[in-house]
Amino acid sequence: MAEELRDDSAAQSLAVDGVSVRYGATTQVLDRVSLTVPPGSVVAIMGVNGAGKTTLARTVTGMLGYHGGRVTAGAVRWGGRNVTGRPAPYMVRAGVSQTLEGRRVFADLTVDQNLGAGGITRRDRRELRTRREWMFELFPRLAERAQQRAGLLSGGEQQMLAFARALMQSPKLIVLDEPSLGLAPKIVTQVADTIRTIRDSGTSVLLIEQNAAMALSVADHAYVISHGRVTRSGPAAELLADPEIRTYYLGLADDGARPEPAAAELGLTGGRAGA
Amino acid sequence: MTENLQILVGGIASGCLLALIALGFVVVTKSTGVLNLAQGGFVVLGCYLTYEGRQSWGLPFWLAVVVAAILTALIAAIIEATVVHPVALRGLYPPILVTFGISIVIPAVAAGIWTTYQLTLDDPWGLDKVGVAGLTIAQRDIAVIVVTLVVLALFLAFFRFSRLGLAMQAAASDPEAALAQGISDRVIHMTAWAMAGALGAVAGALLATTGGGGVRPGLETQALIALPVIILGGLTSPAGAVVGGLLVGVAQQFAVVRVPDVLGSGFHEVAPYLLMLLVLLVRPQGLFGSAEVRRI
Repeated sequence: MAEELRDDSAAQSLAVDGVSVRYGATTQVLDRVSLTVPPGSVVAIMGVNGAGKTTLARTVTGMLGYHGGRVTAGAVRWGGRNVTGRPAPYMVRAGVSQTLEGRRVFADLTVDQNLGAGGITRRDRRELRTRREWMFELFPRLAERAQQRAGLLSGGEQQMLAFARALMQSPKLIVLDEPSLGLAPKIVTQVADTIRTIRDSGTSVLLIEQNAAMALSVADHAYVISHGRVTRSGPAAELLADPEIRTYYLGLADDGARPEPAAAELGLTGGRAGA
Repeated sequence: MTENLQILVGGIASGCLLALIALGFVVVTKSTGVLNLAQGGFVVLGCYLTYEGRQSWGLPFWLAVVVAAILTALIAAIIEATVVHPVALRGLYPPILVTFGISIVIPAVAAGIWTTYQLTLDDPWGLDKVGVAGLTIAQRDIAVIVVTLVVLALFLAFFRFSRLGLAMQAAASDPEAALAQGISDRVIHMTAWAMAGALGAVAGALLATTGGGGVRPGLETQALIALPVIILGGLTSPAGAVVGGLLVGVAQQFAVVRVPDVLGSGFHEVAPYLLMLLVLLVRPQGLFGSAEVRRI
């Protein structure tokens, strides 16, 4: 059914239009959020714990229902089509894939089986084979460990597997939730490189990140979310130069001194779960 | 010695049936997180539908078993989609209560359709025995063991080689991550129930052969013995279901013959639960269970 949804010829863009989201009857998490992800771009969503970043990701990828959330206002459009409230199996087939926060590889399955499970919605065997080869080229460590249980991989390797598993779906847009969380700085650089590679391959990226420095280093455009609202947005270069962003999200004071302790918590360090 | 070996074979045969029923429990628990108490209902449906296939539609025995398994699988999938799925993710107790209700309804409906009289499946073996290496073994026991091996092989092949099998393993490993790959939880849950239905139905048909005591009401209680089996084997372990089934079957058979009358004539009915208690004292998570089962 969803095969016709995929329009491989035309580039598709994602538009979130004034979306509000609630969990249960009372808890409002997003308040009239709007953003766009043009084809072939990397768009970053930054913000502190509990700002609503993960909820925004779920709204786009169709995971909201699983968590008992629903869109109470606004619409999500994918390639001009209204996909508000569509579940993940629909979104994946329509070309929108995701990696979850905390990587969430299938720990007791092998690396190979994880890739197989990632590509399960794709029927074209030849496409799956080329994809798998490309994944092993992109992440040679995964090729070496293809027959190992994924739970035995290091944190960085698991993140690469999470990327590869989602990329098996040949997505047009991939939503990455906190891919750098809990990883060593060297691996974070590798994650950033991978995001650029994904973008260059023609897949647009919606990057949810607490690590503002990393996010702004790869993004074309960025949004700052606070208490469920978009409080800032602009080209990544512009935000990088903004004194307020530098102080509160990058942990850099303009005079070069260390900022207030709070800034370190908000920005660079990361290390805790988002909401 | 010979007698002990004969008891052992009989125990393995009845253990095989317990293993099939227990596997039905485990498939559902592992891939949907729901403890399915309706498994006994599928055992009942399996034997009565096999009876129907033999007597009303004139099918050969094996074909009747296969048809009964397919029909029971369909019924199980429909039950899952209509009454279980809506509550499947609503915590621990609502789904258990729903499946408990189903376990009461199915035998009652079966009694309404097929009466409560003892019926016969007219199976190919009856009470015939065969001599193998000096042992006298019921032909039905051999058939039960062979069928179980075939079903287990199909089961393993399904999980190893099919896309749906891989999807079910992924969903069992991490339901949310599986959904994120586009694996529909509806499909996974229905498939798990269908498999449980088929496993229960095959066990039910073989349980109700002449050698097993015929088609009669109360067969669903046989599925209850599968509960100590899965608890001692580990709630979500297919290997535990098989090993646990064999252990309980053999223990029960020896209890029937070898336990002195001092302990009472019904000791074999208690034996599975005693065995379960013993295992739980040593390994609270079951023989094959992992320690991090859901804590409440």
